[in-house]
Order: sequence, then structure tokens, then C-alpha cells
Amino acid sequence: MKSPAKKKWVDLFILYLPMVVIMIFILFPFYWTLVTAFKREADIFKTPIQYLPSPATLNNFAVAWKNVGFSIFFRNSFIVSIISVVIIVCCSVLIGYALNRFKFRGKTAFMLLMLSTQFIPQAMLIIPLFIIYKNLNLINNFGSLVFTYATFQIPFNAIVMRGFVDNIPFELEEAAMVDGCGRLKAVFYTVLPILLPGLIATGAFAFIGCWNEFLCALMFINSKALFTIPVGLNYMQGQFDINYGALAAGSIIALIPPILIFGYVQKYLVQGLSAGSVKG
Amino acid sequence: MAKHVKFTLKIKKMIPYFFISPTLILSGIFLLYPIGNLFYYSFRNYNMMMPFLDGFIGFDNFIKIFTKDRIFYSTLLISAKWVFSEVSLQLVFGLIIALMLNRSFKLRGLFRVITFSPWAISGVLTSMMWSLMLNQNIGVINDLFVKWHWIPEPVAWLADLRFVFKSVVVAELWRGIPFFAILLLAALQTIPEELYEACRVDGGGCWKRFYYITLPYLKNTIVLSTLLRAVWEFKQVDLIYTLTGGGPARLTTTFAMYIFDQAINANNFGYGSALAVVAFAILLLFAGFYLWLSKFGKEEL
Amino acid sequence: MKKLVNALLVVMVCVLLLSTVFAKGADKTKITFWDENAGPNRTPYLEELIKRFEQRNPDIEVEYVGLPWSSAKQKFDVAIAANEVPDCSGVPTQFMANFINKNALLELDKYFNKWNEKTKINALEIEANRNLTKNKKLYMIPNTTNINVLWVRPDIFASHGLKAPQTWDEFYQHVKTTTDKSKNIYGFSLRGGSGSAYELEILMYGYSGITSYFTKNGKSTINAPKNVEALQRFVDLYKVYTQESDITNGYKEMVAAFDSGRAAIIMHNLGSYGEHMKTLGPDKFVAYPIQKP
Repeated sequence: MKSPAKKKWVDLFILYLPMVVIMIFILFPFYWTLVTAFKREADIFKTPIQYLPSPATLNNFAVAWKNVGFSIFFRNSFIVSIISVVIIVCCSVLIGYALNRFKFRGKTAFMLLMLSTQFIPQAMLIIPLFIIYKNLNLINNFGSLVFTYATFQIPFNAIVMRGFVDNIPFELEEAAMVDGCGRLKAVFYTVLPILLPGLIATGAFAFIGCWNEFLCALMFINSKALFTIPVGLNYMQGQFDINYGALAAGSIIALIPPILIFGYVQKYLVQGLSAGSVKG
Repeated sequence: MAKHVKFTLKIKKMIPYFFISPTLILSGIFLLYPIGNLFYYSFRNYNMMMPFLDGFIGFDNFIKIFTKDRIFYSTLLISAKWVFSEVSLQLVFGLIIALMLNRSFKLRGLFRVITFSPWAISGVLTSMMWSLMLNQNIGVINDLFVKWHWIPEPVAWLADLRFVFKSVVVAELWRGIPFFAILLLAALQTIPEELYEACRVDGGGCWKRFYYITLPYLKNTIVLSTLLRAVWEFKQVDLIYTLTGGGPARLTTTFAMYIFDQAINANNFGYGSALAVVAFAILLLFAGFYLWLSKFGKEEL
Repeated sequence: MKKLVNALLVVMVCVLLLSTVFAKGADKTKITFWDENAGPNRTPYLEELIKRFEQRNPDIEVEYVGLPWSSAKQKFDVAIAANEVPDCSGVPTQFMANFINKNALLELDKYFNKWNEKTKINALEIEANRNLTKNKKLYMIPNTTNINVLWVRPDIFASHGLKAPQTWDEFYQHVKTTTDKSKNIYGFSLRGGSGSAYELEILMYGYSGITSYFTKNGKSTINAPKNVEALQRFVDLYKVYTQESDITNGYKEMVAAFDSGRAAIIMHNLGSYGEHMKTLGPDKFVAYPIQKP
């Protein structure tokens, strides 16, 4: 057994130090985004570079919120994202469980079918999808976005779910069923709690995938009242100028809901095995 | 009695199909037509700007890709470099973070949120901010590096042939770390604490613990997430497009960028579709091979 | 006329696309208008204009849809391919040939000829617009014109005692003189990245003075010796009198180089006036017309 001192050194070099470095790496662009958001437009391009805005201004936030119509975009993004996430997570769990616990014909084909949704660059799919939605009368309707996000995000989440379910031994369900539960109840009470971190992870990824999705949100929607946040943010990049300050400010505003939501659910990400375990 | 049993058995057999049916329907409607469309156009000489030239040309597009297109092979190579470096770097950094965040320490909730943030922030900001930071004249990175004497004078990160690929890799790495960090953190939760205890009692040190317990449990997740991430990175266009536009001299033009360039910018939809079909084939082969190699698909039931 | 053809870079115009069904409300006609460069600066203006238009024409209702410039072309392409186009829209000249070939634009001649305010638009502009198409028809009503100029830092010029260049030779000489690598100042910043093709074309034809893209027998004039010479001289500036990063410069990097004092001269259109004004203030930059061939 390694001496405690040596163990501490190993810990320090292999884990603590790299983590601090990586954290700085992650935080630095955020620091720069914050600084840019509070700078006056003119100061963003000035040399010598200002590391703290002086003077600081809230003008960029005002421009992002008022001139572009952010409040509407917020509402739209919420609606689309929440509906899509619910659909995605539910379907992913179902498929993940089915893929792992059942043997059925066509399983490999189905998996490959799902994977192949990921193989085509989105830009090439826009026109055919647009025509489909046009025939379904879903252009300029949130439905087009929800269906698109569901179709293209479920495969990834389902496959990841399958991996998580794989780590959960079947004995747990068996034990519950022996105790008298029906299969459904067994799954509900034994598997789902352990699956919770996986659910949180995929839910988080699904939410971000919908919240930040730009291409379809622009292509399938034709009216200002239904645009989402990414479209609003892209307005800052004009033909003749790029409004870095407003872009930074708008992005920070757009970042708040995902961060708040994730901040709340992240404690379930490390639930641990206290919920339901094999005894004896 | 027998009929009753047979009926329930039939239902039991149908259950998995029930589970997958919503997704199957969705994929069927919204996927088959677009993919079919892609294949259809790959056999035609369709340039959206010159629709009068449209017509069936058989395999001509594909022949052109493999014999006359000089850019095609270089983009394949760059894509391979790109995917490999991104996935491996993101995996390593993500794993380190996941391992750290799995421990108990104060404020780890905050660190988890920080780790998540690069994924949560909008794509257009990521591209624009990195472009601003890497700018030769007004970029903060040059400013800091010169101040700290790490480089003698400002470097053209996005134009210098020596650095441009690495710079773009770093920008995408920043965005991709949360993917692995969060997934691996969630996967780490499924490892029973008892196993660690048993190992410690038996005298296993830190490394042994990791190698014999953690890694096998993570294996499935790692295989899946690296595969998915590889496919995503292969398709990645936005960041590269904003930072370098594929240049200089096509040093950062990945295959996905080339498809985008041809199909969308040059409106050369027929040729672009053919390229996309080639990409599809490549990824399909890659995924199949990868899964076979990692002996995936052997479930224990 | 020659000057105009050389100088026209971007003409933002309003064009009537093949309309979809005019949704007839009880008494109002609804039309959709797409703005190809929406943003915090332009959207308020256009919405105000639309408000006034609706006040003057109470039986017409205009729905304003703003497109972000970065993906505007793609949005148009999708709309045209799927036949879900707006009634009218802003379109920059660079998309015009593309849209005409796709039969997406409506010919405006008969509408324009009947318009009682048609003399308020510069006749030369209308003429230039007609000349840009093969059949000399009018597809767009001009909205703005932009011309390319030389943006110059007068402080750098003054320190070398230089005046506005009158010929191309003088221009290249000025670039050489103002380059001082010890002070990290370069004479020029060229645009090598996105959007560079347009600029290079304007440069070439502005240098050579050739006024037509095709000769009488239909051959392209792009490889005419004077054009090649123009390009060669320009390219030779790279890395010698310009920064290394210029090769991937888009619009914003080029302007950043100029505004931060790294480049003495840049060649761009009047669109960047706002940027320079914001960052430099009125005394630190000046625009000179581009040299004659």
C-alpha cells in the first residue's frame, strides 16, 4: 500500500494539476466574453487591449434585448426545447432499454438505421426536409423543429442510454420481480433510479442541442414571431459589421437558462448507488 | 390455458417493437426521403445555378471524385487528422475532469456547471470569440503570450501554416471537453462503491483501481461516445468555417467543409450530393468496423 | 459609365420574387418582405419604413422577416428550391445572376415604367442594373450603392509626407514607403479570406480598365494580360508589405488591422465607415478614391 504522502503527490500531478489547467482553459474564453459584453463597441478593437472594460457599459445588453426582439425568441426557444427534450428522453430510454434487455430481430439493422441519421451533413438535408414539412403544412410551425430535433437527436441519446443500461445488472430487476413486482414496476423502482445520472446527462445534451440549434430554426421558420434565440444571435453578424459586444451580451443572456437548469439538476448527476442496490 | 400463455408470449415478443416504434416511424418519415434525395441527386448533374444543365449522368460524379478531384484526397486526410486529434484529446481531458468531479470536495457543483458551460454556450459565439481571441492584431492571446515572453512577436494563429490547424483544434477541443466529461461522470456513477472497497482492502493502489475496476465499467460508454463524437467531428463545419474558411491553401478544409463548399456555396448540388454519399459510405464502414473491433453487441442477458 | 461599372460593389435592392399566393384578408392584402441583412442597426429602420408605408397604403399589410446575413443566401436557396418564396426582399447584386438563372425574380420593367416617382431614382443606377443582366431587363429597384475606396490613416501618411495616390504605381509606392516592420506597421492589409474574390475582381478590372467581362467573340477577359499583371502585383504585396495573417482575412480582420494601426491602407467599400468612426473617431481615417487604370 502506497504511503499517504506518495499517494498525495500522485494525486496532485495526475489529477489536481491537470484539472486546474483545464479549468483555466475553460474559463478564459468566458472571462473574455464577459469583458467584451461590457465594453463599448469602440473599445473592443482598440489597442492596447483592455483587460477590464473601462468604462463599462450595459448598452450591449440593451441592444441585444430590445433591437432584436430577444424576449420573443426566449419564449420560442423554451417551448421548442422543452417539448423536444421530453420526447427525446422518453424515446431514448425506451430504445436504450429495449436494445439492451431484449433480443429481437432487426436489432442491428435498427441500430445502424439510427446511426445513419448522424452520417449526413445537416446542410444537405434541409431542402428535402423542407419539402416534407411543406407537404405536412408544418412550415413556420414549431412542429417542424420538434420533429427534426427528435429524429436527429434520439439516436445518439438512445445509444448512450443503452450503454448506461448495460452497466446495470439484470439481477436487480430479477430480484424485484422475485419479490412480486410486475416487470414494469421492477424496472421503475430498480433501474430508473440508477439510470438517473444517465437521464440527466442525456437530458442536458438534448436540451442544449435544441436550445442552440440554428440551421433548422432559420430554415423552417418564416416569421419573426417564431424565431428562436440562435437566429437572434446571428443577427449580430451583419454584412458590413460584426457587433461583438451585442453578440457577447446576447450569448450571456442566452446562456443563463441552460446554466440555471443544469445547476439545479447536476446534483442528480452523481446520485450514487444509494437508491436501490443488490443486497447480500 | 395454453392459449393464454401463447397470447402473453406473443405480447412479450412485441414489447421491444413497441418501444422502438415511435423512433422508427420518425426516422422512416424524416430520414428516408432526405437520404433517398441525396442518392438521387448524386447521379445527376444538378447545379442549382444552372438548372438547365440538369440531367442523369450515372456514375460520372463519383468517377470525377475519385480520379480527377485533387482536393478530395487532401480533405480526407485532413478530416482523418482532425477527427483523430479531436476525439483523443477530448477523451483524455474529459476523463481527467470526470474523475476529479467524481470525488467529494467543496464547490464541486460549481465546477460541474463550469465544465458544462462550453457546451451550453451558443455556437456562433464560440466561433466569433475564438476568432477574436486568435486575431493577430487585437487578439488577447497574442497580447498575453507576448507579455509573458512565450513568443517573441504576435503570431498569425489562423494564417500561419505551422499553427492554423492546431489553433482550430484547440478551439474545438474547448467546446468538446464537456461532452466526455459529463457522459463519463454519469457512467462513473454506475460503478458500485463496494468494488472499490474490495480493491482497497486487497491492497490495490490508485492505478490498479483505475485499470481493473473503472476502465472496464467505462468501456462501453467510451466506445459509444468516441464513435459518436468521431462522427460529429467529421461533420463539423461551423467553427472551421468562421475561423479560417477552410484556408489557408485548404489546410483546414475537412471533407465536411468541402461538401458544404460544393453543395451550398457553389450551388453544385449534384456533385455535393455525390460527395455526401461518399461520406455516408465512409462513416458507415467506419462505424461498422469500430463496433466490430470493440466486440460490441454482445449483450449479456 | 465605365467608372460606375468599376465602382459598383454592392447594390442593395428590392426585388419582387415570384410571389406565392397573396393571402387576402377581409380587406387587406398581405405581403412578406425578407430583409437579407437584419440586425440591431438595420431592423429598426426598416420597421419604421414599413410602418410609414402601411400608413400610406392602409389596405396593404407587410410582414417583415429578418434574415441573418451569414445564412441569408442559403435561406433564399432553400426557399426557391422548395417554392416557398417571399413576395419581395432585399437582394444584393452578387446574388442576382444566381436568382435570375433560377427564374426566381420577376421582371419589373412594366411596373417601373408606370411608377410616378421613377425619376427620383438615379437614372444611371437603373441603367447599371439593366446592364448587369443579359437581356437588359430590370429585376431590381436600387436601394443603395456602395463604392470601393482606399481607407487611409492620415497620421501615417503625414509622417512620410504622402498624398493621395493618383496612379497605381503611386499606390504601390506608398504601400512600400509606409511599411515599417520595426514599428509593426504595414503598408497594406489585403483580404485573403472570405469575400476576397469580389475584391480581387474589382481590383483587376480597376487596374486594367477593361470594361467588359467578355470579348466580342464571347471569350472571358479574366485572363487578359493586364488583369494578370494587376493580380500579380497585388499578390506580391503579401508578407512583404502585409501581415502574414492576411491570407485568411475576412472583412472583420482587415478592418481590425486598419483600426488598430497595423495597416496604413486598406481597400474596402464605404460600408466600414461605421466601424472606423466608432473605433478611430473622425480625424484618424480618411477615404480616397481608387486610382484610375
